[in-house]
Amino acid sequence: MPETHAVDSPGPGRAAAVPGTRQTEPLGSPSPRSARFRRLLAWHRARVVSGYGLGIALGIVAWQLVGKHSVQQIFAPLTETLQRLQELIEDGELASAAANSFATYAVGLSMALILGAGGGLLLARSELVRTALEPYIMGLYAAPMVALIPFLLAFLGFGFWAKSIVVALFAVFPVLLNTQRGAQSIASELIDVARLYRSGEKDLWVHVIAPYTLPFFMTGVRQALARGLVGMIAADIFLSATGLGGMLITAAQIFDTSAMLATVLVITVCGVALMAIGNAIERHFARWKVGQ
Amino acid sequence: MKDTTRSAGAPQATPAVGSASAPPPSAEPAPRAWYRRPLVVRVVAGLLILAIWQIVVELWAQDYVARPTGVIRVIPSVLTEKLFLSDIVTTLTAVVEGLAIAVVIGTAIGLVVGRLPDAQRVLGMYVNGVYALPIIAVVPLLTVWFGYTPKARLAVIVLEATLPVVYNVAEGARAVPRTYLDVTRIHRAPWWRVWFGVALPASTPYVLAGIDLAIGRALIGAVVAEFIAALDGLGYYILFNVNSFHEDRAIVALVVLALSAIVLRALVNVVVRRGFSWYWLA
Amino acid sequence: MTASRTPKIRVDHLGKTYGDKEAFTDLSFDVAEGEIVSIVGPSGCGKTTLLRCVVGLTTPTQGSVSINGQRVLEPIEGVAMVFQHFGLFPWKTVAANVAYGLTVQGVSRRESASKVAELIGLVGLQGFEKAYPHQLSGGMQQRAGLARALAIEPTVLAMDEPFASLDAQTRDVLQLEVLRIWEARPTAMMFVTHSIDEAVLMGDRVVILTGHPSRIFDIVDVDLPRPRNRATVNTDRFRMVRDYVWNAIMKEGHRVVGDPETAARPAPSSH
Repeated sequence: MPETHAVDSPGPGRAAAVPGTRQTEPLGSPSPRSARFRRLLAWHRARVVSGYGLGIALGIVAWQLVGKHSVQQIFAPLTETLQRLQELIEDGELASAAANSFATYAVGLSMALILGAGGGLLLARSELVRTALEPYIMGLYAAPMVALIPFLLAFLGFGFWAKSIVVALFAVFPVLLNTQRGAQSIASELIDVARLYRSGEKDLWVHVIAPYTLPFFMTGVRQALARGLVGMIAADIFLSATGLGGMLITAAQIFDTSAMLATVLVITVCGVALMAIGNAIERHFARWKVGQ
Repeated sequence: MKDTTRSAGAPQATPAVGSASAPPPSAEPAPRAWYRRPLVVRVVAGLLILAIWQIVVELWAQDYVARPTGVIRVIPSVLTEKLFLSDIVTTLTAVVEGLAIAVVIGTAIGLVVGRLPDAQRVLGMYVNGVYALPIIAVVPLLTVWFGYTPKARLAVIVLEATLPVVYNVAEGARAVPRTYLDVTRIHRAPWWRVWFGVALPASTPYVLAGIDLAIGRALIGAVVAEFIAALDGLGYYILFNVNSFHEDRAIVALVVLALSAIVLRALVNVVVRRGFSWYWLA
Repeated sequence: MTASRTPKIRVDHLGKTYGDKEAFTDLSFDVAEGEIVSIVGPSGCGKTTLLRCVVGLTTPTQGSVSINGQRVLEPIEGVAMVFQHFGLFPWKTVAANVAYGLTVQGVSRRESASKVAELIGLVGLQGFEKAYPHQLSGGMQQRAGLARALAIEPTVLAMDEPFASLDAQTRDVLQLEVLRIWEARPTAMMFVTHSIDEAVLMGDRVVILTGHPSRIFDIVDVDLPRPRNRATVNTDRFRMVRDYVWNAIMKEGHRVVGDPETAARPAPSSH
């Protein structure tokens, strides 16, 4: 399980915490050299592996069974889905759709990162701006982004840039809020130390604020990766029916269930990969996170 | 830049040596400048934003694009429009219904996954997968299964809202303080007493955190479903009005949507404080 | 004296290893019926683990524990425990918490009501039956914890540093409270603490754990008259026992020949 459950908000402290299987009671075990310890350890490992294995097996079996026993329009078995997936890869349709989608993703995400970082730092450093804009930012953050899409469509059209802006809009808030939180939480002592050494404003930023805020920024990046993906698909579906989301819509219209499932599978894999990347990035930079 | 650093928030800069610091003790404290009062600053900022919005739209955008004056003008007619009011009811009822189902299912799955490491290994990958997948990608599929009906919207809401509940309940179930578990073990309590009598109450703060997140996601799900399936509701009201060049009306609906999230969350908070007073102080 | 009766608790060559870290080894002692045995040692010496092994919350890796002649591998009937962090369920009232043991046994609320009321009175929490733990001070919560333990009429009482989370004055008060309550119905008790004074004040005998891994350095007869009170800590005998235990722990069980600071082992007094 990933550490935070909320893509949207940091939430109360309790909601974001420790992942994974944790033994509630350490294994009672004699010295490691003894056979009993090794046996217990081996048995535990087998249990872990068979747990995951059973999960995978159940998924495959369920998919296949449900698919076989339902009408073609409702569900397709795993084998058919994989077949369709292969077709889509071979005739290049998947590749071009993915390229289309992820181009907007990359551009939109970059915009979000720059705007979010800049905005977050500005909010942290200027009390005036922060006090003034905080309620409006929080209000915008509370609004479901999806509901803004019709307005964006009407205002920006449905081209590449419109889609990128949608992605950026979805992705910017976690970056902004996390960066702001990080920059704001710099203990005043650190600032004082820097000033004692007669650091100029630029030095302050480079040597104190930026490194300190970086891990927080990376947390925002992780959340932005996931939200950006949502924005990407939403933009595909609502704006111009191209890309991966577009593939979904077209397949739905002709009841090509195996294509739909194949696309969902691809998107899920992308989502999982992005989540893993995001976690890795965050963890790497959390190494020197102060306090918390 | 030097100026703003002096007034920066958490990093309170120490005044430079030699500069005038505290006023002489006998003098009265100076009245707070207008730019120091939060309320004034916010109102001014808000007005500025509205002004910029108005000017930009007037000068460069089409007639139908929403603008503050337009929005204010239509507020009375929208708020009294029967269709609008029934749309609010439709969407919010679906959201509440979906939330209730999501809480029950989510708590059950969360408890199982939280307390049984084996279950977590088997089911965890699927929960993570659904979490990584934008639900919006599944909506076309759901409309194929449920048709363009309110059932599809309910399915989307339940799907969106269950996930945060599962995560938080699982976290809570895993994080039951060891002392409580020791107490149950010393008294040799049966498993169901442990799960429902201890793990579940101990996870209540987590369940409530999950519900808080689920509310936001449920609203998103409702809107997405209404967009794609063209179902009557607050989301569709927005879509319809934007597409028929009545963006001002759509903005009013958007604001109501955002407010609903806040109101729902506040309601949950109130119920929590009443019914679970121990949670806040435990 | 006590050797002729079957011990209530028998700890036999008990050892516990976590992975490749040995917490304690070769612990053997008995606790007789109606006796309080204090277990004291430096932080991290495994005394809490020892207690958990005795009540069956933890499985030892060597040796065994028997209560009433029955081998303990998991919690058994008639064993109650008072926890350092109280362990009261915050969502239950004081009365419901005290009644928990009985509730688990299936006793209806009506039947347990009188017993619960009696115990609440015994520990001095009258008037707080309907209060929630968060409304109570630490000392009051621990009183409730004690009442909960006594509700099941245990034959063995385990106390895991019960006063460690309380301030000094509450601790002093509760020490004597517990002794007073215990006097009414003396139950075999194992009392784990890191406070040497407390161990000597509470116990009939003190088990001293020292070393890495922990072993029993010695078991001292406290031999002070009961009922004990605040004056007891000023007696010569108390000081003698306490000094001995203190030295044992501070010097980690190394008795240095000719070292005047190392106290001589206190012989059982004529009491």
